[in-house]
Amino acid sequence: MYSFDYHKPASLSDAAALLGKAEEGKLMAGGQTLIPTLKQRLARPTDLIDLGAIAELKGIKEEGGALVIGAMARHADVAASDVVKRMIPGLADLADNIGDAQVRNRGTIGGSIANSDPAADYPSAIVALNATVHTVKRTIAADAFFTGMFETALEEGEIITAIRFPRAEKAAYAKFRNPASRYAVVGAFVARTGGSVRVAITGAAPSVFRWTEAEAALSANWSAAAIDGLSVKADGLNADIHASADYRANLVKVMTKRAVLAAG
Amino acid sequence: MADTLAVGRGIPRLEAPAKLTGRAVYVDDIRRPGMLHAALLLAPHAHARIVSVDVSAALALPGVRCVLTGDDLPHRFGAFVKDETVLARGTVRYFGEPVAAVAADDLATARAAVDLIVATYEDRPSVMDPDAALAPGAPVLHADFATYERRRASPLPPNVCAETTIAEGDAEAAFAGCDVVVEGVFETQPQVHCYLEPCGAVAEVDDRGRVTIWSPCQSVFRVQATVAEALDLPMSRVRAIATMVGGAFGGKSDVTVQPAAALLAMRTGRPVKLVLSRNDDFLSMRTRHPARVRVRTGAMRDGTLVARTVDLTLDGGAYAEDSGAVLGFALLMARGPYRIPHVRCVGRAVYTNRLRAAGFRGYGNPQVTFAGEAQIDDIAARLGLDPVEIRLRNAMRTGDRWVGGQELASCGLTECLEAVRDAARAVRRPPPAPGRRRGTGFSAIAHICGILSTSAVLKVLEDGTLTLNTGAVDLGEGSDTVLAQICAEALQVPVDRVNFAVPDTDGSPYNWSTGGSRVTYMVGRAVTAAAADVREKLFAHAADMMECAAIDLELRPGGKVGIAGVPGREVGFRAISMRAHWAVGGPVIGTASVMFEGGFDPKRTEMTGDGIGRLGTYVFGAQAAEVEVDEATGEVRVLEVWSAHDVGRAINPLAVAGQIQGGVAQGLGYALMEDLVYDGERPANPSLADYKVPGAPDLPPIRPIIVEHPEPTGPFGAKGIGEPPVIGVAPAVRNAIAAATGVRLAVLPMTPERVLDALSAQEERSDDGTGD
Repeated sequence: MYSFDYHKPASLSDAAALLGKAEEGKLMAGGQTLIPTLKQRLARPTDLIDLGAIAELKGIKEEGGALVIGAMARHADVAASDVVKRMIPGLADLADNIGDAQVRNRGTIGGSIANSDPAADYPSAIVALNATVHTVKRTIAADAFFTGMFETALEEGEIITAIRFPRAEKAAYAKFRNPASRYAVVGAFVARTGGSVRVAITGAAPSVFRWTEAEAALSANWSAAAIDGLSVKADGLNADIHASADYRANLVKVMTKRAVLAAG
Repeated sequence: MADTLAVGRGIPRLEAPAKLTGRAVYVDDIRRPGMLHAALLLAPHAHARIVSVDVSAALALPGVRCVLTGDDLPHRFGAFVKDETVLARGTVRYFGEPVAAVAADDLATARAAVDLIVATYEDRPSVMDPDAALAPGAPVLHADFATYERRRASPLPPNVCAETTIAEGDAEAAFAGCDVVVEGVFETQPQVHCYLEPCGAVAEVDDRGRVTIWSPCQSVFRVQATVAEALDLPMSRVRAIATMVGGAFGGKSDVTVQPAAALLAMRTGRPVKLVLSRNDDFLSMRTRHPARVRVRTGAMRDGTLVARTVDLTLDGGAYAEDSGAVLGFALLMARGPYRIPHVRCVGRAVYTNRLRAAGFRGYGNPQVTFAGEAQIDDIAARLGLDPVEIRLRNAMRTGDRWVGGQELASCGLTECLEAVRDAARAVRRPPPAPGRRRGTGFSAIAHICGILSTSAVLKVLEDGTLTLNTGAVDLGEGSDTVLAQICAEALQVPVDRVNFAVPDTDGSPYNWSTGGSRVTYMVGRAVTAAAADVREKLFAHAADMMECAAIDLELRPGGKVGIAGVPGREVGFRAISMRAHWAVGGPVIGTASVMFEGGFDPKRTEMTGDGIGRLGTYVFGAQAAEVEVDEATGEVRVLEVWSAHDVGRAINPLAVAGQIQGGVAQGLGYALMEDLVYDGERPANPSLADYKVPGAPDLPPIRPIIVEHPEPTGPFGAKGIGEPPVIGVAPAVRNAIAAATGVRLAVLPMTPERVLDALSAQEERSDDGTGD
């Protein structure tokens, strides 16, 4: 790790000011990707701005029939939240299976989606639940938020404040996890909200994507059997030391079916 | 069993409180006055000529005290082939090979200086597997191989660092008479030792120019010898001291970073600490040998095994290290623990541009046992026999001869097989969920404990308590505790009266290494012999003191010598030792030196090659695994493992169970997940974020079963347990997958994708009507 200046501002405006002043500043939420990156000396920021003391970014609540999760909510907070468990239990379950206990006690929902790791779990929930990402400047629809591998619609220095999830009738996540990192080799989040079905797949491609064929099949017949007749092409799917594209294509189908079964 | 004071008791580790409270001192905890910190520059090429290494900018960085390159360390070392230098000279031969070492006032400065070194390379074509290395016209890793000093100087083909053949009978002819001959090719992967504690060393030079090295290692004596060789120093100028060791498994058998730390200390005149990051440890240290094993086994219709041939190719990586011995040992084990009269095992270890391969818990045996035990199941399936029955029918028994002629003094294999069979078959579970298939698989294993020489010095202190000094390093397996128990038992004193000395080449008597499952058995023998020496000397004093004949004396519990049959007539060790120290005869010190005397029977056995000199006594075991296979993902979930081992006598049953559980865990990693994958010339997963070692949540219940057939030559009948539990896990799991699904895998690790591919291929075959 190279040396840097560490800041822990108490407000969003202070954070923005620090970021503006820094020669090469980095915002840190839970640090679960950033800190390993620094330890590997793959990044060399001059300033690290820790968002952990900003009260506006915290909290999990029900608001106008929707679930609102502050950007700095830790995975363990989401997993243990009575509000989340009551409103969208599949989301609490997803959070409870991210990484390991240490990661869940440090990592945050805002940090996870801002990073847009292709194998992260949360992006699938954001997209399948058609959530809205709130930032210091605006709101961004789920379908517009993830733009590619480690890329999002966020502008330079734009800080996520909260994520708003409409309540779903049925929602569940199933993942095939990498045994070492516990990232998703493939994860499928299925959700039925007001008669509309969304299926979001993470881990399989450079970025989270909606499996529209599965959405159509499940709209017509909400059951695991509805997936049986579908096929997934391996073209364009990720291939790495953990799994080939063909293997991931199979997992897309298998995990989607398991998510539907879990959602009931 | 007779009453014992210490032996046979599952007492907790002597060092457990220190480890559990964080007080145990590992090498990274050591601080010396004025200590510098060191870091290494690792090569970014698998095979390249070093054009130049410009260290001027690094040296100019404030706080940098010394920069070493290959030119500073010209002396080649190696246990079997002297092919390695501490830092690459002229050529780099694997991605991650150390090219330069820096010592600076702090670690951040040392690492910053490493970044300032400008090394230029001329890339050379690489050979990344044995096929490429053995191809005609392949790039040669060691152009000067013919000039290297070697343990055995027979000519070898290019890129081959060792060749060995072990044979008895006439296997080829015997196949013709067999009812069934099964042939298979099996492949295994590089498994990383992945000790919890990365390699490191602290070195310091005294005012006489002598260098002292503290390090986690398997043998302070090998560290001393190899550092002396690498630095061209007399051994008397090198002192090695063991720190607490956070696991080794063979990866700390030879030197790791001690020579570089030592030279940095000598050049700067200051203490130097060099501890590898996990990433640098992954890139620059060692793996288990990847292997390709072609096995052919012939049997009669009733399951009687008749002949086996094995052709083994080990990928040794860029430097020979222990490859010659690993090869020889693997071939010695390749017949399996069966009465097979005709056997021919041929093998070679090949240089490639990969991380050097080394001894790793099992020492070549897990590779050949995976192949051999998979094939036993394939034969059983072909003949319609029960897999345990075929093993029992052919199992070796006490009095049988191993390949090479050594007679088995004790062999509990049959009992081990029956024990795991009965335990596994007694389990009743509800049927598996739809889409999951379940099966149980078995394996039989043999191994050796013993190897080379060792010694012990046992001193009786003035107050009658004891200091035991053996030079044997406890790597975390509990040998300090076990040796103290042996000593306590032999002299009938409580274990807490025995002080176990830290291994130190200045004060400790020679001990070859903590390896080869040998410490309980070999060092235990030295301890019992040294204790017998002490007893004799104590008796001589006691006979004088009580005016009786030594022959009438006996040890009494609690550190006393008494006249047999006369209660109350006794003297304590304290009184005897005070007399010896201050009045008559001098201090009581017992010593013993032990060498395992084995060897080969050349009349019956063809044997050429490295590493098969005097070995040890044979140990046996059997393992079973029950698995559930997910048909949709290919994922294998191990439900339970049973592991039965004939340990002769369990000196500490708790420690034996711990060795079994740890070995099985490591075996499950080998079977299912661990693999250092190469992406072209570089390791693709040199970190724990991508290289999976099973942790507690990943493990099934592991059931140790201790079988005790006392070994006549062992201390209180004991023999080794360090390596055996890792050896048969992969084939047991493989055979369980076959029992569950019918697919017969031949490549490790058995990842979900490989299992699913095999299931799909099986389905296609049965669709075609070509399946069996």
